Amino acid sequence: MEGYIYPNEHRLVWSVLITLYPYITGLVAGAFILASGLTVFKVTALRPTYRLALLTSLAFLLVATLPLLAHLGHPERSFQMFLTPHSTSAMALFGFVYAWYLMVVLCLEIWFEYRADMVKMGQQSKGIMRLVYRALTMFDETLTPGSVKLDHKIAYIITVIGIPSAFLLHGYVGFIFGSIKANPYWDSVLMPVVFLFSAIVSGIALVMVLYMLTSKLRWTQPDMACLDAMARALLLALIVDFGLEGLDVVHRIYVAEESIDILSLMVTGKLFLTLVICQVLLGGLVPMLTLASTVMFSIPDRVRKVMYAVTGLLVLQGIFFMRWNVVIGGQLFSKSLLGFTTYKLEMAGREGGWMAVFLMCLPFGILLVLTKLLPPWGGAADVAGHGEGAPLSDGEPSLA
Amino acid sequence: MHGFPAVEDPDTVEKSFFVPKMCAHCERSPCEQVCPVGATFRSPDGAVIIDESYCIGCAYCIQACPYGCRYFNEETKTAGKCTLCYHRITRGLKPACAEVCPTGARVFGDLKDREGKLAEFIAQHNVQVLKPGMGTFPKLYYHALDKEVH
Repeated sequence: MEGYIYPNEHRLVWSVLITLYPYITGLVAGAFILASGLTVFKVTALRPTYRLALLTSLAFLLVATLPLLAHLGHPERSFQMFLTPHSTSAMALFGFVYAWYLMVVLCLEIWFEYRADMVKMGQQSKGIMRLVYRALTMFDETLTPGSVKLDHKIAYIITVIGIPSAFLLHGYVGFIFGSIKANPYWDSVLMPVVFLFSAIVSGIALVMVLYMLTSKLRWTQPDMACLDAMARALLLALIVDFGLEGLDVVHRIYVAEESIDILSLMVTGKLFLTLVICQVLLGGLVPMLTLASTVMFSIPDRVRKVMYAVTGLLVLQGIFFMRWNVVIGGQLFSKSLLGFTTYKLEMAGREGGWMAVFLMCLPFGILLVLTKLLPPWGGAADVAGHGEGAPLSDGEPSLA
Repeated sequence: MHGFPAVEDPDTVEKSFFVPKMCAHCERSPCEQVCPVGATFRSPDGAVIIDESYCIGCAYCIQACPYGCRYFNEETKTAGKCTLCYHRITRGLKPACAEVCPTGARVFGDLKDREGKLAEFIAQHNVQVLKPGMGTFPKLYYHALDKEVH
């Protein structure tokens, strides 16, 4: 402790798990928005990552609530948020926003996107897998051109609904922090927008890294046109995100409210490493310059791939530290504006570092299972007679 | 927690004083507003109290309180707060802190009672609230508060 803090501020009540919550939901929203780039914005170069992005989004969404549940003092009472939500609370809506996004957007979209393939895979599988695929298709094996076309039409409509839903999901997470007027570090109308664009940034980076990693594991070459398209989208999102965060900083410095002194001390002191170095420099400026150089100069594919991989990883750590700086940084100074406290990350325990590592690894395990069950890169397409990377069911994925 | 560090050079301290920081039972209470399940609520007579058997322990109220008055109870795993001794005041007694204060420094009363002791004190003294800019309309008034107090 330094200076003068309130008695209840010696221990941070929101730990590393609350850092994971916006990080994971951001990856969910960002991956989904990237997937919608093909279906809604017709960026056909993104086709090879379309299904991978959807499955990634689902894998992370299934884990998104776990950090919160592990953090709650009484996780067994969490259902009360559904039964008796407090209408004035921003947090009370989380369960509904989450359920909407999981049930109405992601699960339905993936189901309609994969239905024809699941029917085919069910017909060509044996034993338990046949039963699994048949159960997933609800024992309906209709595979007429009309039904497939209808699947795509519905999936397209769901994607259109899904984009504002993804915006809602993560903008809402930003609002949970931005609406806390007691905390001058969080209290900003820009917070939901900053969260949203940082989510897009992290989602694109994650799918880009996963696409390259899975290509390597499958001994195939990633599609360079697809990687280039993702890199350009990432650059654009990074510029907007960086611009918004810069605007927030400039505004705070210019208006110089009462809290500016303690926030300046925090940024240049306790948060220097995680904010200035990890978030701004390594997670923002370096990736932006690297991606810009791939646009401006003619760089060989092999080098470009390495640059994309490094950039993706840097961006992912940068956004993680952005969440860290908001959640942990926002609790490091006293609301008296006269002192600091310290956060010591404990590794053991329900809210410890190992739990955080486990929760961050879990979505990758789920994604592995999902990709085995619903191959996103043409595993079943080979069976159905489609080429590598082609959509499994038809020529145009999810287009009306 | 090992307490506050000792002041290295007492000569640098201009003045020192104690300021009790109690829950202000705000008229527009941020902790009540943000509670996702309504475990923190306002009683009909204006006290902001908590139902610990309903609190999920999310700590959002602790973040929302501008005065650092909410805390996490490690024993019950729920958020805690001053209840204004609701069990006492509803039986016509004073809150325990006002009851035992040896110098009578704490004046408790009904703000709606124009003839009461509290209304009389506020009318006759210069009083102020903490962080009025927050718009929480605290119902805890301080007399002769120093500018250093946040």
